[in-house]
Amino acid sequence: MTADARETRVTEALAANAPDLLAYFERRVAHDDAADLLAEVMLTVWRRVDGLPADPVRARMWLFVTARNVLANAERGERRRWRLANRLRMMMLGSAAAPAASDPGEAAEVRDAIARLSPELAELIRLVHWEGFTLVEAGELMGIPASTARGRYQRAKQELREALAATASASAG
Amino acid sequence: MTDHDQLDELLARSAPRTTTATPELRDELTRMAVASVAERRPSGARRRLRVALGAGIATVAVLAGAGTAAATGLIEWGPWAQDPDVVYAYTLPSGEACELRVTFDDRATGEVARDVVANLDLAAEIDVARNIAMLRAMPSTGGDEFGNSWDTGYGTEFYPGVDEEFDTAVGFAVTEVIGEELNARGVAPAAQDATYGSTCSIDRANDR
Repeated sequence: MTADARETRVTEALAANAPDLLAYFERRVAHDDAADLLAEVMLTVWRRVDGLPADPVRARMWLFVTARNVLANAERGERRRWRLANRLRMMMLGSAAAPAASDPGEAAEVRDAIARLSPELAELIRLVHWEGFTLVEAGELMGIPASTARGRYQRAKQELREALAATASASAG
Repeated sequence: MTDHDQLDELLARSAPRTTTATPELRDELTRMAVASVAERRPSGARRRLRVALGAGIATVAVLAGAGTAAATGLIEWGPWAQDPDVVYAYTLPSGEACELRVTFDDRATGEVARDVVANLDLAAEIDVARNIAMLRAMPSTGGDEFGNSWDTGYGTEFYPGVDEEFDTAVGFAVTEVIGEELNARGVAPAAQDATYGSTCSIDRANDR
C-alpha cells in the first residue's frame, strides 16, 4: 500500500467514526474535554497507523479500543488541550444548554445506578446500551472473553433492577 | 422496576445527551481527520500573519522559565504547570488578571519554546483581535436528541461572554505564535504536543 493510499484509508476511517467517538467521550467526560480527547485519538492513530485494520468494522473496533486507552490516560493525568481541536471545541459551546431530556430525573436516576456498579460492569452497560455495541463487541473492547462479558452483563442487569426497584420503593414511600 | 424490556428502555434513555452531528459538525470532524496527518508530519515553516494588536486590548508581561510566580500569587496549578515552558500574563476586558501556561511533552521542544519566548515580544506578536474575529465568524450550532438545532454562534445567548471570549482568543493566539516559531526553527509538529491552560481565579484553577 502506498503512503497516499494509507493516508486516505486512515483519514476515511477517522472521519467515518469521529461522530460516534465524540459521542463516546461526551458521555464520559466533561463536555469541553471531549473535543480534545477526540483529537488525541486522531493523533494517536497516526503514531500506530500500521495497526489499523483494513476492514471497516475491525477498524471501528480498533479506534474504540484506542479511545478507551486515551480516556484511561486522561483519567490518570491532566487535561490536555490540542490545537487540532480548537475549532471543534468552539463549535460545541452552547450545546450544553440544549433542552433537557423528556424525563431528566428518571435518566439521572438510571445513570446514578449505573455509576454505582463496579467500574467494569458499568462500562459494559454503557457500551451496550449507550454506544450500541453487541455484547461480544463490548467484551472485545474491554479485553474480556464473550462468556465473561455475558456473565458480567447478566450480573449488571440484576444489580440495576434491584437498585432501581429500591429507588422506586423509596420514592413511593 | 423488574420488567426486562422496561429496563432496556430505561438504560437506552439514560444515555447522556451529546452534541448533535449537524452537517457543520460533521464537516469539522472530517477537517480534523484530514488535518491530523499534517500534525504528525514534519513540514516547513508556515507564513505568519502579523497584525498589530488593537488599541485598548490590555496585555502585560511575558514571563518565561521555571519558578514563575502566578499573576495573583494565589493560583494553585496542577503538576503539569509547575515548571511551564511558556507563561503569559494578561488582563481580561473586565480587568481580571489571568495567566496562561504551556508545558510541552517533549523536553527538547520545551527548551526551544523557552528560547523562543525569551527572544520574542510575545505580547506584540500575538493577534488576539484577529482570533476574536475568527471566533465570532465561526458557525456554531447546538442540538438535542430530538433533532432540534439552533444557532449558538456570536450574537446568541449561547456565545461566551466578553471575558471568556477574550480568554479563549488569547489561548489560541499564544499557541498559534509559539507553534509557528517552533515550525520556523524546524521542530516537527509531532514533537509539539503540549498541555496548556489559563486561570484567572483560585476557583477556576482548582477546577482543573
